Amino acid sequence: MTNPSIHPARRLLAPALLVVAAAVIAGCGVGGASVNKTPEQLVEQGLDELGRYEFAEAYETFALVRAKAPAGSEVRRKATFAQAVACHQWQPASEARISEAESLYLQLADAGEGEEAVQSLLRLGRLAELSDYFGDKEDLAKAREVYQQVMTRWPQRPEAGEACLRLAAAWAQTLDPADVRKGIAVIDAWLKAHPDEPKAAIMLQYLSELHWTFLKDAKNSVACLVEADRRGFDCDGREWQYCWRIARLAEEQLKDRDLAIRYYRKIIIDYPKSGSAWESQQELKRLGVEPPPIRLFDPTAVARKSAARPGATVAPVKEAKP
Amino acid sequence: MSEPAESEYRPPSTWRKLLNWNTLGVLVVISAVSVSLWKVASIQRNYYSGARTIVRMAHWQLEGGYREALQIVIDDYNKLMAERFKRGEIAKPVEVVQVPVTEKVYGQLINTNLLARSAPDIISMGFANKINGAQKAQFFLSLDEQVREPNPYNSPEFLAGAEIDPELARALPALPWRDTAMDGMRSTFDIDLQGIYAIPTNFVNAGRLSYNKDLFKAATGSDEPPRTLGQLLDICAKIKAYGDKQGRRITPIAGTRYNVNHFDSYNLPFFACYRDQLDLNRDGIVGAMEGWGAFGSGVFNLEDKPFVELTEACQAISNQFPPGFLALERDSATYLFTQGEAAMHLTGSWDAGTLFRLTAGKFRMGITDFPLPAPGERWGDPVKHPASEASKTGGNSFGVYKFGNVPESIDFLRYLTSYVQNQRYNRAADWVPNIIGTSPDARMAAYVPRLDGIQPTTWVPDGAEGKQVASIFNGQMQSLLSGEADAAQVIAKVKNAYADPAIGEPVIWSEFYDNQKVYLRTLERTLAVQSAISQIAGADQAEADRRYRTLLATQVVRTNAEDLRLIWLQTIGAKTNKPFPEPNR
Repeated sequence: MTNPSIHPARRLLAPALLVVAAAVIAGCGVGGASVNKTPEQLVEQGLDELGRYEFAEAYETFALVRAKAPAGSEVRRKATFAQAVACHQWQPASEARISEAESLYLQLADAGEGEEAVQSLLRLGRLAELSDYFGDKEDLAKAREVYQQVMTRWPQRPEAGEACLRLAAAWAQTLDPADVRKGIAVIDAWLKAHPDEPKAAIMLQYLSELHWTFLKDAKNSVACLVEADRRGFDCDGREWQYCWRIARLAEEQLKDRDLAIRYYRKIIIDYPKSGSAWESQQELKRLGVEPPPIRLFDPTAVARKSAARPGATVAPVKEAKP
Repeated sequence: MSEPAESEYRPPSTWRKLLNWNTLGVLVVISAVSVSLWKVASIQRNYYSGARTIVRMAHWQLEGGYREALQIVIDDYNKLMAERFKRGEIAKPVEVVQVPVTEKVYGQLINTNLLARSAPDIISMGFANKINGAQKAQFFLSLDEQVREPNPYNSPEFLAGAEIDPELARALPALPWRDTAMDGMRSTFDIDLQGIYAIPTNFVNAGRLSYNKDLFKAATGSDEPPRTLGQLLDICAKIKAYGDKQGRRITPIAGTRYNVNHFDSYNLPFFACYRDQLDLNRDGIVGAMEGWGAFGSGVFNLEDKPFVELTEACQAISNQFPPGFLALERDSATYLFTQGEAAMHLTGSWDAGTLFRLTAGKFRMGITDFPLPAPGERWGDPVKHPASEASKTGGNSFGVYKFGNVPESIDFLRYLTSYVQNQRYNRAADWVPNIIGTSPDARMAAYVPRLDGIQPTTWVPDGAEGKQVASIFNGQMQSLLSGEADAAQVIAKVKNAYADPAIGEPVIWSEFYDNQKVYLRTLERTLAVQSAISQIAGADQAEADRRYRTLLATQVVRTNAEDLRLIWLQTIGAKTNKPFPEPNR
């Protein structure tokens, strides 16, 4: 209930003061230092904010760049892309922000200029494929269409390789064997047409997954992994898992003893810290082969990378303290 | 007795008037305030005068010997910096000081100071929630560039006179810092941020028994440690009998509530027999949902021999602990053991230094692996091998606070993890060093990671997935260990929980599927941000591409979390025709 003895103007005083205080605080945050910076300086600031996952701040900064930079300039195009990324990745996500990100990406993709165009189209595919906020429905058909566009419009760009992987995954997601095969066909065709694809090892690793885990086709799964190994596995720390799969499937499904032996040996020699080296030794013994020793925490394994030397082992345990 | 005449009364002198309890109170307050002011002023003078660069290093390692060992290296480093300052090689003297804080408040202290931008320069990474996720990138320096460079403190001048393999001595100066760590700094590589945000300084290993050699000798006639579980239980029985004969209570193993975790690692050898059935994708690892799939489709049964025998073996071990051990803290176990009231102490490498110091002069202490049932012994059938520890990674890792004295902090961490200093510091602390070619003190040899053993992967109804059923499983296992429940009760309770639609099967699958979707969406965020930054800022393209490909490989292989639905279809779905429990998205 309102106290009638207080003058109406006085009633407004407290809220007014609060609004002024909030405005001052908010003004200090953005306006102060940023307005005097050049667009290039602001881009640097925005990237720093983006790198710290401060999406709201990055969004404001890039909006300021867009306001300052001349229309059609490279800096404005970059800022538009970065603002779209900030909007797309903003947490918590909302329908409005995702719509805004989509519209910014579309502007860039339609303009078709620079790296931002291909990146934007790829991100539009991701927008369609993933659920970004509660209630957001995945649209696999649209995602596939967009990924195909990236591959067709910019086949020589590195993003095209990623789009190919994404397209295959968008097929496999239905789990229908016919769709999984379509996904496999997409990658197979791409690798045939682009034998030097930089993401070839990742594609082959993924093909192995689709062949074995989805279709229980051990032969093709193993063949893909062996080829990935020939090119050099492209993953971080999971190499031994691929070797294990080759060895186990070679033994259990393909009855290829030599291949199994080759990969058990590889686990022991190349991945002694995997935790499976000792087991690989046991498997080799079972197969009647003398296993190589485990040189765990061996400086030679590390030094090989630096073109050093073979032979040394861990220093012996020193004498006990008195 | 007559009262004194008025003329005889003499008023107390001024000093007597002043010397009363009130004055004393005022004096105490003034003294306390003065001391505080002096302390504040001296801290200001020492730390913030600008004459020296003070590098503060926070950690929670209060175990005996650790701070002293660290101080040895710090003192050497400070001396080195003083010499460099004298020679004009650095602009200001640098002084490293350690800030040891109890783990009870460590997290709060670090969180508060990170937010207040007043955090220590070097921070032991643990307890604080601000050291996780994207906040790590906000407050801590990515050390990727630095770890690709050699550690200057491994140069020949710092290796002179060290006991080191000559070939390693030749290779070490050129090795990238990252490759000088035995674990390649895998422990501190953040896969989501695709970077190294801390430097591990040693190996932390658990599950070893410290034992009282003198008590062993008196009770069993030998001071040899047990090699099998059967031998361990036999020694425990002899120790109890010896105590009875002596008229005193001797606890065989000083167990506490901290030892409940030990039984998690004991699961591995018992359940290894299931691995080929559970590892559907043949990647060598049993994933959480491969486990739940096997449980839901009846491949993994709690009524089967491995689980029943595991519960029996665990109960036999926990019977050797003090009564009510689930209420005991670590300190209680240390007290029982060091006072000779317990023959063994089940603990980790972090406690070894404390135990060696507290038992010195009282009795001879040894450390041995915790034994498993051997072939021919009871429970020896399902158990074939221990778990390998080859994949163990370094611990006690320190991050560099982004807004502190960054170059000086990095330099000290390089010094601390150089070949000579890391070995020296860890030997002095009775810890296990983490630099290639180094070794611990001989009495710590039992804590060196074990190479022979099976891949440490298995599954029980445990972990973050299906956490409500898992917490019932854990609670029941604790009841079993404390003798309040038997295996049949544990099995019944866990199966009932799994069958409960409010917390069981459908919730486990739909929650995990949803969480994995969120996780993969988080990876998408990292991919998008990294790609945008490298494209706009023109960062080191080769390195940026490598990181991007690594994340992409991690993400794409999951097929947007539909691999989980596939596991369902191949296990529970195949057996029961039940549809996949869809989450509410």
